[in-house]
Amino acid sequence: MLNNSHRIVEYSLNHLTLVLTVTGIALALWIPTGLLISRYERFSGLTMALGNLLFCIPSLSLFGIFMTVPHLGLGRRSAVLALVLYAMMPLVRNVYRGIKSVDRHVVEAGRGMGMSNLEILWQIQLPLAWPIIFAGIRVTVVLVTGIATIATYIGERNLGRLIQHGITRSNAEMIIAGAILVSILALLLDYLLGRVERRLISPGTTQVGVRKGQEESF
Amino acid sequence: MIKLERLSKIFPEAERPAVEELSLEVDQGDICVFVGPSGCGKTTVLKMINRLIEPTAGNIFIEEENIAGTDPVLLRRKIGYVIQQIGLFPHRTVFENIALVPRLLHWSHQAIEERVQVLLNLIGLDPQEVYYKYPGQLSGGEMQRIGVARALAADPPIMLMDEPFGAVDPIIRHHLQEEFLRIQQEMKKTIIFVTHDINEAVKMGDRIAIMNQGRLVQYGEPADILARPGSRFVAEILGDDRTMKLLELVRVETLMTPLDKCSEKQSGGFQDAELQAGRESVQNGYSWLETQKPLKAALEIMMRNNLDQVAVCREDNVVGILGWKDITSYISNLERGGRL
Amino acid sequence: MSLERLLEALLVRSGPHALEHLRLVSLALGCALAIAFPLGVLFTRERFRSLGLKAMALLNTGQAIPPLAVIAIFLPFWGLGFRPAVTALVLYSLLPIARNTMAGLGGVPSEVKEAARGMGLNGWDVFWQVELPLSVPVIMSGVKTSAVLTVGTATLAALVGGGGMGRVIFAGIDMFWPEFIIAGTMVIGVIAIVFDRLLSLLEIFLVPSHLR
Ligand SMILES: Nc1ncnc2c1ncn2[C@@H]1O[C@H](COP(=O)(O)OP(=O)(O)OP(=O)(O)O)[C@@H](O)[C@H]1O
Ligand SMILES: [Mg+2]
Repeated sequence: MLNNSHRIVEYSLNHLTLVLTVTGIALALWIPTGLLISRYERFSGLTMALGNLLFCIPSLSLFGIFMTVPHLGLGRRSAVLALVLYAMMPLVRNVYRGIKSVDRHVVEAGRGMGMSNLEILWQIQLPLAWPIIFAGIRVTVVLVTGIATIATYIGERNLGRLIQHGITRSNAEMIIAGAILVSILALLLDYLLGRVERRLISPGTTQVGVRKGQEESF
Repeated sequence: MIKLERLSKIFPEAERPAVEELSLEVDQGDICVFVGPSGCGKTTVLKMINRLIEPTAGNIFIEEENIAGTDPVLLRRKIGYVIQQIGLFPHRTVFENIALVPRLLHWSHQAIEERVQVLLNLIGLDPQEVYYKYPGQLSGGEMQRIGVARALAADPPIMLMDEPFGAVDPIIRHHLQEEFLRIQQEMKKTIIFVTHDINEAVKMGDRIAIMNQGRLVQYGEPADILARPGSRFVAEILGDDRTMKLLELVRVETLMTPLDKCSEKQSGGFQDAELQAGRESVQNGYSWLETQKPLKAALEIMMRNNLDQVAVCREDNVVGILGWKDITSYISNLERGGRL
Repeated sequence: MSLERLLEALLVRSGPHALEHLRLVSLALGCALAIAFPLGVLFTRERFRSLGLKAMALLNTGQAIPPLAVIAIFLPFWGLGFRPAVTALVLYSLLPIARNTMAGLGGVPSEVKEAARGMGLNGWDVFWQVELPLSVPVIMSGVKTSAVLTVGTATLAALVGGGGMGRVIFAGIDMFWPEFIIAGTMVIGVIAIVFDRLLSLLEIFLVPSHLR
C-alpha cells in the first residue's frame, strides 16, 4: 500500500476535481432550471420526468454511451456530462419543492407591499427555500462522489480505480481502502456544505434556529 | 378617493362569481368597513384594489385614475396591505419585517430606525423586547400587530386591512381600535377594513359595506344601517341588539337639551341652584354624565337609578339635560326615516 | 451504429442475462424487505426509538459508501458468483426500505394511535389496523425507490460474477460498441418498468383506495 501512496493522492485529487467540476456545472444548470419550472409551472411535469428518467438509467450505461460519442470519448468529458445529467433529478426537484414550500401568504404579503417578482424571489422565496435546496445539494454531492467511482471503467483515474483493481485482484484491502477513502471524501464535502449552510440560512427559518435566535436576543 | 365601478370577479371553474357587480365609493380620509359571512368576497375585493387579483369586469379608480393602467408594483407601494393570514417573513427579524417597504423606497437608515420605533410603540409592543426576534418567536396577536405596523411603515395614503385585529384578545383589540382611531384623526388615511365583528365595524367605520355572496347588500353610515337595515339578512348580521349598538354610537351631547333652552318643566327634576352649581352638588343629589359618553351610558344610569332624565356635564358644569323621551323619539325618528 | 448489432444485442445476447438480472433483483429486494421491514417496525416501537434514531444516522452515513464498493465487498471472501452479488445488492437496497418504513410508521399521528388505544385496541391491533394501513403508501414508495435503484446497480453485479445485464453493457464498453450499451440499457429500463408496475399492483392491493 505504502508505495502506492502517491497514486492514492493522485486518485483522490482526480476524484475531488471531478466532483467539484460536476457540482459547479450542475448547480449552475439545475438551480436556474428548478427556479424556472417553479415559475412556469406547465414545464415542470416534463422537466421532472426527464430528470427521473436520467436518474433511472444505470450510471454505467450513461458513462458507456457518452464514451462512444465522438469528442467525448474516454475520460473526463464523458464522466462530467454523465454525472451532471445524473444530478439533475435531486437538484431540480429540491429547488422546485423548496420554492413551492414557501407559504403562499408570505409571498402574497410581499407582492401586496409592492415587491417586484425578482425582489420576491431573491428576498423571500430563495432564503426560505434554502434549507430544502441545500438538502438537495448535499444529497447530490454525496451521490456524485459515490457514482464517480464507476467512471474508472471509462478511463477516469480516480478512487474507483482502487476498487476496480481490488476486484480484478480479489484484494479486500484495496476494495475497503477505496470504499473508505470515497466515503471520507463524501462525508467531508457534506460536512463542509453543512458549515456553509449554517451561515447562509436565516435562524428564523428553522426550529433550532428559532431557539438559537432567542438566546441571542436576550 | 377610491371608487369601485360594477366590479366582478369570477374565478376560473367557480360556480358563482366571488364578487358581482359591486359599486361603491370611499371618500378621502374615511374608513370603510366590509362585513359579511365567510366566503362572501371581502378579501377578493381588497386584492382587486391592489391588483393581486385582476377583476373579470368593472373598474377601480383611485384619485380618478383607473388603476388598470398603472404599474402594479408602484401602485402597491402607495397602498398599505395587512394580509388576513398575517404573512410575516419568517426569515426576517421584526425590525426587518417592518423596515421592508421603507427599504424598497430607499429611505435612509436612520429614518427607518426611527420609524420602526414609533410604529412599535404605537402598536403597544416594547421595541427593546421584540426588535431582534423572529416571527416564529411571537404570539399570534403580536405577529398580527407587527403585520399592521409593517403595512403602516412607509406611511401610505391608502390602507387595505384584512381582519387586522382578528387574532388579538378583546382587551388589546379594544386598545388597538382606540389607538388606531386616534392616529387616524391625524393621518386621515383612506382605509378599507375587513372584519367579521359587527361591533368592530360599527366602531371603526365611517361607512359600512355589508356583503353577501359576492354582492353588496347595503352601504351606508353605521347609524343609518343600524336604524334601517334594508333586509332580514342585514338585520341578522346586526344582531338582536342593534338599537343598543346605535345608542353606543351617538354621544349624549348630540341629543341633550342645552341648559339655556330648558323649559321650567323640563328641568323640573332639578333645582335651579343645583343646576348652576358645580359637579359636586349634582353628583350628590342627582345623576349626571359627560357630554362625550354614548347614549347607552345615559340609559344605563337612568335604568339603574330609576330616573327619566339625567344631567349632562362638561368640565364640572352642567350644560344640558337628557331625557328618556329624547332617546326613544330619536330612535323612532330614525326608523321612520327608513320606512319613508 | 449498426442496426444489425443492436438487434444482435437485444435478441441474442440479452435474453439469458435479462433473466439473471430479474433473479438478482427479485431475490435482493425480497431479502431486503424481509430484513428492513421488521427492523423498521422494531425501531419505531416506543422502547427502541432512540436506537432507531442511531440506526437511521448509521444508514444515512452508509449512503456515502460508493455502490461499486458495496458490490465488491464480498468478493474477496466468497469469490466470484451469484451469492456475493445478491448479498451486496441486499445491503444496497436496505436503506430506502428501512427509512420509509420508519418514516411511514413514525408519521402516523399520535392522536390517532391514542384514539385507537382509547377505544380498547391492544398494541397488536393498533399496529395491524391503524399504523400499518396508514403507512403502507409511504413504505411502498420506499420499496419502489429501492427497486429502481437496485435494478440499476445490479448492472455492476457482472463485475463480481453475478451475471445480469451488466454483462451486455460491459461487453459494449470493452468493445466500444454503443449498440450493446444502448440495448442493455433498454432492457434494464423494461425490467425497471416491470418492477414498478408489479409493485404498483401490489400497492393497489394493499392500500385502501381512499388513502391513495
Ligand atoms: N384564488 C382563488 N381561486 C378560486 N376561488 C377563490 C380564490 N380566492 C377566493 N376564492 C373563492 O371566492 C370566494 C370569496 O373568497 P374571499 O376570500 O374573498 O372570501 P372572504 O369574504 O374574504 O372570506 P373570509 O371571511 O373567510 O376571509 C370564496 O368562495 C372562495 O372560495
Ligand atoms: Mg378573507
